[in-house]
Amino acid sequence: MTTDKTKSAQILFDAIGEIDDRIIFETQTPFRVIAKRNQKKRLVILLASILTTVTLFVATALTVANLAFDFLLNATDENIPPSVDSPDLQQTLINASQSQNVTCTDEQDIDLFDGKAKLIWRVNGEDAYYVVPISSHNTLSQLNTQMRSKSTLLSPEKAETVECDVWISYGDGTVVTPYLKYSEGNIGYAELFEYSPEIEPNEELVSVIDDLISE
Amino acid sequence: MEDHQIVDLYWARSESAIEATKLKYGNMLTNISVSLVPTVQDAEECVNDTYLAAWNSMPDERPVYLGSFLSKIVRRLSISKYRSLKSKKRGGGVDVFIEELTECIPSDFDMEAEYQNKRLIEILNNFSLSLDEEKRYIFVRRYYFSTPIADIAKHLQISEGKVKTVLFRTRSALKAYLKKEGIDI
Repeated sequence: MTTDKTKSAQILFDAIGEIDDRIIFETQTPFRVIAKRNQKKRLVILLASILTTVTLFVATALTVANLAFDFLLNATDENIPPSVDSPDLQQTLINASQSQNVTCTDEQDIDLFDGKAKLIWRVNGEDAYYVVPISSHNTLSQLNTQMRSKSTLLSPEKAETVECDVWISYGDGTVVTPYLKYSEGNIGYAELFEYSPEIEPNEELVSVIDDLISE
Repeated sequence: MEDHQIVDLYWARSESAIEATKLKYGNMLTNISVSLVPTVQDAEECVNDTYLAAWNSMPDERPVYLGSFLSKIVRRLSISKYRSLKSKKRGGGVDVFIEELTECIPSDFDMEAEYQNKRLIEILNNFSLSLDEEKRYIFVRRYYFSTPIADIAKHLQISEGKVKTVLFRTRSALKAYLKKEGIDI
């Protein structure tokens, strides 16, 4: 058996001596092999460099975009996703328009400097103004607190559905509205100013107003 | 000097053909022979016989790859010399390669017929071409050029361990290839 294997191996060894001339020629020197290996190495390094560059670029772009987005987001208030229906306050006020506790009057008859706080609203399309005095200091305080608390943005579409303009007069000439964020820039003076609703009065505020009207 | 220029010298029966051959291929031919035959003198004898064989074969022959042409002659002569000297109990390096190649032989089968009808050579050509360049270089250097493993490692700037691993795997691949081609040896 061993002799047969050896004999076969000898034949194989002889046969290898007759392989194609081109194969032998290409094996005379190792330069092709080394050159190809170096080329592969260079290609791997190049691909790795490109991949690293692209990754860095994408990471940087994403970081910058993220920071820009955060900046914009923070710049527009304490941003809470917009758009909630604002039916409650509207409906409350529209319903209250017929209430006996509510005074219906003209704008020029409303005294903003009489030292008495009041809730004032006007239904869109109507000339009449509705007034409810805020006689309780506690009620006024609650209204202030709720107007200063976190609010929900109104989408432009929802803002257009607001049917009433609403103001709170402090009796010293200053006027605010629960539909604008409570800030110095949104405090009016001596007039029931025009505005575009930006925020949704929260439930607590609506509840306070409801109680006020119901008193 | 380019191969075709040296071949032209042979065809022109110019004695400078031998000198040009010695200059370009002398070392290569000597290295092949030294790995196969017992002594340096035996190797020198084989190389000189190779020059004579080349002189006698050209014209008629016009090899494209002169180095391959000459290396085949010196290899054949060296193996023949080894076999004749082996019967006289003198050593040589061929046994080392034969022993390694027995790993390529899965079972007892006489492959002489396949060798006789040239199919074995065609299979070996296809097998060699199926290898990547590095593996092919290592396999052909080892079993055609009879290059020592250390020298192969030095040529390719890799470790001897890697050369041995590649040779082992290539021999296994050759065994599988021969089996697939229907040569059960």
